[in-house]
Amino acid sequence: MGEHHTSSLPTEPLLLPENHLIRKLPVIGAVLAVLGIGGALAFGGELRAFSYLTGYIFWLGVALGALFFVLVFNLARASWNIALRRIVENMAMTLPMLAVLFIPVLYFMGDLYHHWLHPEGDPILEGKAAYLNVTFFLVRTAMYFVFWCGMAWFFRKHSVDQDSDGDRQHTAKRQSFAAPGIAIFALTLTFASFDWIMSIDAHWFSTMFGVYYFAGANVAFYAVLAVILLWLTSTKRQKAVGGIDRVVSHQVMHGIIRADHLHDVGKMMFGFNIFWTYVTFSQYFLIWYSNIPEETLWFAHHFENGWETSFWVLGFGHFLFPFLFLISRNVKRSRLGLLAGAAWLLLMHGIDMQWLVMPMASHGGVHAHFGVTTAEILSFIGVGGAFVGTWGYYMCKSSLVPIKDPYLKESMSYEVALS
Amino acid sequence: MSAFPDYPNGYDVPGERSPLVTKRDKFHEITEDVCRVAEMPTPKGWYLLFGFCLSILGVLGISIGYLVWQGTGIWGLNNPVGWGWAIVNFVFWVGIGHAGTLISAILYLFRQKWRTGINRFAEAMTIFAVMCALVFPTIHVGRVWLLYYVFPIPNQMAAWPNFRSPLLWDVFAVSIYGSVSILFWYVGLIPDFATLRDRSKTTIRRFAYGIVALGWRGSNRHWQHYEIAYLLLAGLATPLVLSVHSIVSFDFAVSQLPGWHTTIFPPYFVAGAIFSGFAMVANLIIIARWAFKLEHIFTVRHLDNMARVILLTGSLVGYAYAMEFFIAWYGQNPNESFAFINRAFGNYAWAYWIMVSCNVISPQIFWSRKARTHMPTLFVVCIFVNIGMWFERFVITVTSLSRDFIPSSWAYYSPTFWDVSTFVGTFGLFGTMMCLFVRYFPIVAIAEVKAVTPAADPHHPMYEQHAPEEHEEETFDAPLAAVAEGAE
Repeated sequence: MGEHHTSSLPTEPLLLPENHLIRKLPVIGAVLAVLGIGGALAFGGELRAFSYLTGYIFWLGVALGALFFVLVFNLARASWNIALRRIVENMAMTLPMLAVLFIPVLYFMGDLYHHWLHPEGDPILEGKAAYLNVTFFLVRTAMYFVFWCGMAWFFRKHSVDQDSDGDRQHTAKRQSFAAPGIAIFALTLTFASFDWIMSIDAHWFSTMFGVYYFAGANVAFYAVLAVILLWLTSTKRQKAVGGIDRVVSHQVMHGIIRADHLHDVGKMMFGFNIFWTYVTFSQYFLIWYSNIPEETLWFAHHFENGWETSFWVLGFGHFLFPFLFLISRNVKRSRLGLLAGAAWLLLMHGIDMQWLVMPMASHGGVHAHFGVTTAEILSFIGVGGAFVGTWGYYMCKSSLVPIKDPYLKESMSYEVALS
Repeated sequence: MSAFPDYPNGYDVPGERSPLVTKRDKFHEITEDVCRVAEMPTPKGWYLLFGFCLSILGVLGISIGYLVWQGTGIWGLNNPVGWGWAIVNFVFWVGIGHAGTLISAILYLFRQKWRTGINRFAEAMTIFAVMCALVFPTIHVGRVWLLYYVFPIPNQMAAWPNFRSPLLWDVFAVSIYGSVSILFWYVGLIPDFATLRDRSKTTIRRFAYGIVALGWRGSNRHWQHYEIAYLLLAGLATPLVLSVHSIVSFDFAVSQLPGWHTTIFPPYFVAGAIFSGFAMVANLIIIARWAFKLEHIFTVRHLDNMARVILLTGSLVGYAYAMEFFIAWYGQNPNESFAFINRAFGNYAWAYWIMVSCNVISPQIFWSRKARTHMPTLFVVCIFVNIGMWFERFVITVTSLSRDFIPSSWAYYSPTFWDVSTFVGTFGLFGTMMCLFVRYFPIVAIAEVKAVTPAADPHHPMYEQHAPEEHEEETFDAPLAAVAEGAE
């Protein structure tokens, strides 16, 4: 043997060093969450309901993207992802926290969903009342979170337990539960996006809407993952004698997560971004072409008060620029290039989520003009703080690499040859 | 040192993977086994099958001849059903083709090594399916000799096709798709043509294979160019898989007709296309592995994986049906709700329930690994899938048209003899091309399959069993050791 690229197979649990920043994240995250969410709710003004929902669905998408990652790669019996899977499993474990953070949305239901909360006199909304009513809405919401939290817990448990006993049955269990898990995931995500986002404009409907939210959520997830991986593999260099750089210290995952992993994460981000474009374009295009008022009205609402700008920003910024930038292999394999692409796409996803929610605020008697509110920024920071803190909490609790996963060796040794 | 795992192929335990070539996995044996198909004396069975397919092709010829002579009035089209079997068959065949491109391009980008065994066959199927598909738009125009009007050719009458029509986009999409598919297929064939050339025993064969092998010598430089060309073509073909069937779905979805106009159509059509195409590839592979004794190259693992893809895409199609139904109710548009209730319980309910049972219910048997690895079951279910997918296009096209907005214009559509004979005839075209393909072409990508044998992989566990101690002794990297220490 002695092949250079199979030599770093870890055999001991890889734990965070004592003084690592992630160990402090639960505290930092809690402070940010309290300040952010508290600030948004207390001082957010009349737009706080919509602003909070914007921040919430942004981070919910990242967590759901993480859950989908765990499900789909277990289902496919894939191996490239094993070295970074624990980090993602921990990201999916933010779902219980996000379930708690859904309470403000329930509190604001009267603002957000006032259309269908009072269907009286509107024959269309009265017709939908069998689905769009408070009781059924609450039952569905509870079901979504039960399924999501249950799956996040199940897949992490059977991954962490394997660290100690090395039993392959854990892998077998994960693989067989991933298939029905994907089906449940598809349905719950779809109806959640219908309930929480699409029903803000209770008249409007699109069969594509669930796929739209799914695609964007995955772009955001891979962007967050790329940022995390770049951080956890970074090195500190110092100029040594003769002007040659020397690595003086490095982050905890350095040497485990390799350029090939980062490249693959970049490719998934790039691929999902094209998928997002495909879905977004198809939805818009079919509605534009048919020009049926009951469908075009949604776009009319989302073009009001200057929000048309977001639409064009998304067309160029969410698709064209990142497409031209990230298509290059060299960019995806360069740490700076990947970081720039990921950060940009996160910004774009934020604009996308904002565009879905905020323009509709104007239909509740308040005026939401194009721009960013303080409440949005505070909500984004607050929910994000809770997300990061919860993730950090789980990162401290187990090995950072599933050391006894039977596919780990493949994950540590594969190479991205050409593609 | 062939040491094969003791579990049956396709029944791999977690952490291990069934080999992609079983039993005869030496490089020379693979060459022999694949080339034998094209080199052996023509078997009697081939003549029988070829003769049969040719006569069905004759049916196609007669049907088209009569159509050109008489006009499209010989079909069952009526008012309001102005789109009948021609568009149904077109979408059916284009959809079949998609699996080939998915296997050869998308699975290549996803580094799915199992694709190598079946990609040649699947790509051939793509090209023949696209040929069958193109028959229908060509002949349905009535005056076939004016077909060139679909191309934007400058002319003295300044008559241009309507650029805002998805039918015109179809012309571009399908012709680009066909061209790239042929190019992709041919590039992959070059090294294997060279193998056949080098093994040729007659001058004619050597000459013919020599021409199509384009002077391939297998040098390092050749392989480097080949790999880059292959990757670029895979990258080009990948968006085509999505774009072609999306544009086909636009043919319906840009309209305002209930049942046609819904935003999920593009990905839903793509999933359906891959679904039907995989079923067709699986059917053909099951026949080929039995007829040419290639069970060790088209292994159970390949078919197991294909059955999984069929289950997945079938469920995606089921998801799309469910969304359409839900939104038809949720939208509270009476026309839309009517279109869907009419589908399920109207006068085409029989077609609708054939579609649902074949497309959504029948593949559910693939939750069981036994069913996925049992060839007769797999074969029958794949046939069901193809029947179901044909009916899907029929249901979409005909139910929405036959009962449109004005009840006084409603009419029931049924095909005539000539509708049926034309469709059956395209199977003759498909079968004839397939027969010629298996007779004269290397039906497996020889060079690629060799690269995925256990022998080609120095890290394959099968070979590492002989030196396990050596591997365990290896210590991990210094950085990791440092981290582990820091953690204590």
